[in-house]
Amino acid sequence: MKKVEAIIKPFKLDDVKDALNGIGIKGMTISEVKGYGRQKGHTEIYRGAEYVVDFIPKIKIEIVVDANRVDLVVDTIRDAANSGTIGDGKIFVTPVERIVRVRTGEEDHDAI
Amino acid sequence: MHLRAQRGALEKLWQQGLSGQALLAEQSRLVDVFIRQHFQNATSELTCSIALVALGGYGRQELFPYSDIDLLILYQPEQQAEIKQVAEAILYPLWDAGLEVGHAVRTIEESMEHAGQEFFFQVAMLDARFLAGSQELFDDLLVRYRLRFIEGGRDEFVRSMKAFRAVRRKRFGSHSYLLEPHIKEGKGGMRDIQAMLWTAKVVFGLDSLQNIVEAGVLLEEEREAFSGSWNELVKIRNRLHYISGRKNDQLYFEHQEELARVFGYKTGTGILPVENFMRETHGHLQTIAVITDLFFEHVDEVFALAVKGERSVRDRILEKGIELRNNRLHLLVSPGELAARPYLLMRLFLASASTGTPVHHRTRKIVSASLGLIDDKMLVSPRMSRPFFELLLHPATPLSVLEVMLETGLLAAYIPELERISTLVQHDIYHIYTVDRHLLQTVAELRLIVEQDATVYLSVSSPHILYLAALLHDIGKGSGGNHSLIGAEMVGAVGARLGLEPAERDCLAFLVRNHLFMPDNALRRDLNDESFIRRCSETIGDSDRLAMLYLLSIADSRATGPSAWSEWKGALLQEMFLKISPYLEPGQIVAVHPDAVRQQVEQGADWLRRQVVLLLDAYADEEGQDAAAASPDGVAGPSLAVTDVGRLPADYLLSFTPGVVARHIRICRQNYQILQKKALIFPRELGQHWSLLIVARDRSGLLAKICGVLALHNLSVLSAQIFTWEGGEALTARDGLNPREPGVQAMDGSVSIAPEREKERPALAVDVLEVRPLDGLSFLEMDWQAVNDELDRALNHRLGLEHWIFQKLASIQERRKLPEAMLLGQQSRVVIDNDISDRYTVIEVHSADRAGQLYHITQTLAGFGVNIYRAFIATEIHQLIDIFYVLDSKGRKITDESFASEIREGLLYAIGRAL
Repeated sequence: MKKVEAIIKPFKLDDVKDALNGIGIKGMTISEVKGYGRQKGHTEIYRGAEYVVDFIPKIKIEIVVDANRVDLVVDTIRDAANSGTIGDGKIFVTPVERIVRVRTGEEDHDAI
Repeated sequence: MHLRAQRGALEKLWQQGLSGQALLAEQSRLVDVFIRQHFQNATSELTCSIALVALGGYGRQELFPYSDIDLLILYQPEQQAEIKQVAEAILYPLWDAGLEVGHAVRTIEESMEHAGQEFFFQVAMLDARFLAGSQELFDDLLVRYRLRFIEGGRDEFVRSMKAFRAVRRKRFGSHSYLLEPHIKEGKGGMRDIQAMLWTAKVVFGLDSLQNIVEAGVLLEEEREAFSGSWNELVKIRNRLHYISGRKNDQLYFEHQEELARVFGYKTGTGILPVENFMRETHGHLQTIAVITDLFFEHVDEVFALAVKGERSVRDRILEKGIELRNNRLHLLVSPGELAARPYLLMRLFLASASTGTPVHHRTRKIVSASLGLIDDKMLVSPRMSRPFFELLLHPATPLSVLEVMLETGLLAAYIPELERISTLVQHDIYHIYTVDRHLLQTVAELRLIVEQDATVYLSVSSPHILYLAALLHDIGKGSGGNHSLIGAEMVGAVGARLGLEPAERDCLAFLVRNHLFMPDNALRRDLNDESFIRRCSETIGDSDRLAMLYLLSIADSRATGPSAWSEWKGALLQEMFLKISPYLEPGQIVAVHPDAVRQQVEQGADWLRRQVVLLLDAYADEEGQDAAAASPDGVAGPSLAVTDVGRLPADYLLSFTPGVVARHIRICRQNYQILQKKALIFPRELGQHWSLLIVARDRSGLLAKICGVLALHNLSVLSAQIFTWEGGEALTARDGLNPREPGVQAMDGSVSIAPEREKERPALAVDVLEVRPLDGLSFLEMDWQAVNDELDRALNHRLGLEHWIFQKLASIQERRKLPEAMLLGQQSRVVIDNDISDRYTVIEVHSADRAGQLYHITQTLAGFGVNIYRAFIATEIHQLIDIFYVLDSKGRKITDESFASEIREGLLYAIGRAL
């Protein structure tokens, strides 16, 4: 089992969600996050006043899938989230040791 | 006894139509019978020394299905030995029957002591009811209780009651309870009703609602409304217990739908049954809250509690009929006088806003009773609209003033359209306030935002339209369909009545129609998409509307609830605003109506000039004569600064903060002599990219040479802003601000300047380029002096940029082993567009990203005598997209198709030939 964590541009969320639904991924955790990488923060000017934008709003999606599905999931996210510009985001894949569904106590594969 | 079975019977009674208070009485009668029977079985010989007392809700015979049964087992101290057995005989069966029992076993002495320590027990005792055993013992307790806690402690009682009420209101007034109201503890809930009844009993000795009315504390209409709402709340709570199957007094989401179904609510136009149900429930809670508030204000007055701890305001007559007394506003006019001057009702609230004092509760009742005076004539009277706008805009108007206007009904009487959305609910977890409250909240949030960020607000030319839009933006809700469109239709009539000009009404309708435009798009659209941002700017039309829409969007989102607003969303909204703003900003490169906005540009630029002068003066003061010595002709002080700054083009001033402009000016002054011969580069590190200020005598092909040199030093250009400061007399003249029209004339002549025009003192090119290192060198590792020297050599025609760049390209391609095909595969494209900008021709060049590419492009443009005013350079994967805002050598747009085509071919050749 792997956890796929993707940081994407906010406006791409619907596209990514639809694409993931399309390959049968129904559950995911979504959070609003801020950060910066190559797409650095910047300063905007409005009528002489400076607005510093130091962190850029992004969406984080987390999904846990069986290892054999990871490549498909990653490719799907990459295709859907790509706008070809700086700040499109990153995808991280990490191993997951154990999963427990709280309500039933099911474990691992059954709990995905 | 089978108490459970009997509760089943209650369920049947309910189905037969018995509801509300009657059901409660029946419920407690059943429990009475059950308890008495067990008591008799256990205590046949002890009945004279033990009494069973019902307390709290059970004492009042208001027993909800799963409410606690509060029981006091009172005994004479000599029964100590037997009491345990008796208590068990009564309590066990109750527990076995599955009832929640709040029990206490005490002597009279212990009870009194406990009541002294515990206010809740003291209050529960108010509802004490004799159940079984010794009546004498019970009467003893009551007498002692009354003597000690009522006769001697009314003040204390009221104070404690008010304190608990305030705590409860605060705790159950939080966001989650707005969405899922707490029928018992929430604002306007059962506890508010009891608090009023208890207090009436203790303070005035009035032990029923009817007595309270007869004593003149409540009006008959108020009692009717109060009783009606009370009965409805009882029905709801009763059902809620059954549905939840436990003691639950909070109307959770899932229960709301089921209750709406059980009570037979129907779908209205565009409104769900559950929304109708909740709307009425909120209405009942509101009725109880308002009436109990009025009651407690009356109590405050009797005990003179209100004045203590409040800042005291001098009593005075504010105007004829409106007086300030004891920190409360009173309307002191005869009904006849009020009928002659109904606008006093509105002026009363203006007085409340401007003095910061609440309206007295009796006056609030007068307002509610006089709403009939707001007739058609008053709806259009300027005597109403003037104070209305004044209080809406008054910076001190607290939310509470608007709330009281809403609660008294004045707001809906004056703007009847508001009636439709009164206590309207939206059944989702997003909208936590009822629509009418949300509108008031939006006005309050707007006021906060204006305080926090005045810059945007200052550019709003008609604030009253903005505030009115905040108050009315959701007015179209509750009738199905798109509420923004419906609302926009409706506000026209409101605006006309309030005496707005047609243009103002248009603006109001625009704001209402588009109030979701920014929140909807900020999250869902690519804000880096130029064409999208341009379309937004076209939809919005001008900077005034943009500023209003932005402020309204934030206020609306914040007033909706915690899930509708976060700093995260705020950042996206701000980005969208700042992205659109330059398109609508007067004097900027994409000005929409250049002529109409020119005056505004000058004003804005003049203001910025003054800021720059102030900064320069401050520096001059700090540095004393240093600044003077460095300036070209040894003249120090503000006069030089003024003339200098007065010449700066408007678009330049609008592109930087005054601080940056002042820095540029100081740099140019201090290096004036050097700049006659050399170019200077001033690099600054800005996180991951660097900003280069490059100052040089303006000359043809300057940008191309800069680009070439930067390419040789592995610096990739991200964007370039190119300006020209008029040379010649600019630095010596001492006339005032703004000597000639800026913005237009001062902007002509940029990269390549017609040489004959600047014979004496050449113009200065001031270019700001954002660059990024390609070879991973850090800012400190860069040899900036080498870059500068090389630029000078290039400018003096001593450096063959052409062949150096060719060699570099060859070595890079070898090193990276980039397949030629990969570069060839990139589509090269040149688009020349005269529609995007009114002033400039926009040239878009798409090409493979290679070292020196920008040099080739700019060099080619220089060859055509084309001047570049702005450049945006975006690098995607192996693809370079450059956008240039240009004019031809005579300062005109490139409209001649054959010339345009020549440029296109030239550029395509330039970017393709090195392959």
